[in-house]
Amino acid sequence: MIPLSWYVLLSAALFTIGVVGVLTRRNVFIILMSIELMLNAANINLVAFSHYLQNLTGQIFVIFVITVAAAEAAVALALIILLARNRGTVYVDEFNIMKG
Amino acid sequence: MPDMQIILPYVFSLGIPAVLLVSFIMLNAMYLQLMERKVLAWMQNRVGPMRTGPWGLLQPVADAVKFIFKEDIIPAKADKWVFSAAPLILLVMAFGGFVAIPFGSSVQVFGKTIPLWVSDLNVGILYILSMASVGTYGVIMAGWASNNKYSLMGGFRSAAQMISYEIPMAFAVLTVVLMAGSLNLSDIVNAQSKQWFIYALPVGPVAFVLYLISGIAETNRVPFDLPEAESELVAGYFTEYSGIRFGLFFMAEYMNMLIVSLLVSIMFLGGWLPVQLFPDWLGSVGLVTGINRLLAMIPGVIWLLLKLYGFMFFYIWLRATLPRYRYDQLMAVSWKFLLPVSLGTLLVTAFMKQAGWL
Amino acid sequence: MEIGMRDIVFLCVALLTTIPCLIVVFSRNVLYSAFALFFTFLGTSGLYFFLDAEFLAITQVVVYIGGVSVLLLFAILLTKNVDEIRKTNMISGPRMALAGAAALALLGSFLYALKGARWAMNGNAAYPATTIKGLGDLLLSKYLLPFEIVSILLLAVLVGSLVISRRSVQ
Repeated sequence: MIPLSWYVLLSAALFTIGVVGVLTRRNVFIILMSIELMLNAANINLVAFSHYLQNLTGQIFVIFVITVAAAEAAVALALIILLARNRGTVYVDEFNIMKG
Repeated sequence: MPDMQIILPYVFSLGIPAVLLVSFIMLNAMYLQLMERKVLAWMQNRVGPMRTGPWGLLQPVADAVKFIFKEDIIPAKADKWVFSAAPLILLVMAFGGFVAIPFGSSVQVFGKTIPLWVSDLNVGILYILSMASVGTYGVIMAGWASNNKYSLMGGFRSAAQMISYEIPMAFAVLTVVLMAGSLNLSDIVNAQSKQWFIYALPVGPVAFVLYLISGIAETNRVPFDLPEAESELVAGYFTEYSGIRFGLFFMAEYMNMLIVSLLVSIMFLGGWLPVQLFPDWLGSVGLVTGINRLLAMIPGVIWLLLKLYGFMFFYIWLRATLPRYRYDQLMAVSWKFLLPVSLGTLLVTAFMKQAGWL
Repeated sequence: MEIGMRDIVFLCVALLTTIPCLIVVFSRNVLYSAFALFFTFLGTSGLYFFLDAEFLAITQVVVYIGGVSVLLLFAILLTKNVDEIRKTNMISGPRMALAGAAALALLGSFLYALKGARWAMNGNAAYPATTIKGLGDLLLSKYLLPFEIVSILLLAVLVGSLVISRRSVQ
């Protein structure tokens, strides 16, 4: 029997790596991927708790998270493609047109 | 040394089916190639391969030997890791799909029960769909890693095509799942013991055609073979591949065709259930029941294989007959025709199921 | 503690999830990140299988690998200059140090919380044999409202992304 703490530890590691990605990278694609990683980490936690509590609510929640993540990715990618087409770059610190 | 008593059940429930499955796949991956060449040749009034072995029967062996001993070239500007990982991903995903396919109910051999499946997943059909969608990834990887514009174009086309055709395919599968009330493939077959789903009017035939069209598109076959269109893109995403890696792509393609044909037979044509020439409700005329009983005596696996090779023949027939779609037509077919029709089919099925007409 | 077959497989799957994760974040080539993301998602799906959540595992593969990451690859290949890796992807200087410190603090707090945790486990109760049926029942009874809201969200996204990516707005 694999202890619950292993899953939580794994998920914590994944989440931290995702945070590092969001904080340190300039490429908007990688930031998006890191956000997906963080959502994934949360999902692992939810499914693990759902399993060890013998309660399906956690899994329902994961279904919603996956749906929202897919929706988010679709809109975000459409925006990014448009941005890259208009501004000619995918680096976030060059999107500074709102910066007075 | 583990106890034989513990291992033995696993040998019968897992080991023998797995070995049978792998040998089935390998044999098919080799000989479907010969079948395709022969059938194409006959359709074009030629004789096909005749030199190697009697009637060309050893041609696949010769091809395999050639694939293995040819030089394996990785282009200098290609990305080495991704280039070599791509065909493996495709192949692993194609193999993975087979694991969940049941070839019949279990058989008795020498008093031992041997199941004709490796794993009877209760989400079997979704699992196979997911394996098919992962295969796209290998195609894109191959297209990008080759560092060749034709390959990249092929990868692009494949990605767009797979995304577009997966949706009507999923809806067609969901229609079947609704009719059967289960995601398990064995349950789906058993649900057809009264009536095959292709006869379930009015939605059955529609879902069947939808699934067949999108299945052909998913496997990149004529008339949807734009990712590897040889008259436009040399060979599409596997232009730069040679030797055994090229062989792996070839194998993966035939295996995907096999999976689609198997799924069509299982979902719409009753899988391993025998053909009923005259349905039982026609009345118990002696001759009719006699013929039906005779047909039912043929083992289920044979029926499934007959249906399977029927569809393989259909694939080859299409290749000999149809020209390739133009790219905008390809997209239009999926988004403007297949998607609305499949959504409508699903809705009608749900309604009929609720009303108790199915 | 005796290490069984299950533990070894679990460790392999866990490594399959975490190592590509590092590649996603630290690789200099965006496409490598995208390819590594594929393996992370695959590993996560394996973890769900471990947790008896077959339906979720398959959904993960279909939605994340078949949908999100193929879309991501497509988008990366569509934008120009993506594999221009001479221009570094990393931010530099004091901001980098700050980010590292923040991440370390986060990990530290996670570990601290983990150390003192008492899990309320309910390991004896039998998991429903077919989780799909349970999930379906819950979705269409207790969680019907969120389910409908999510479907409206999906519709909005469908229309919205089409409007955004249309070339010219008349």
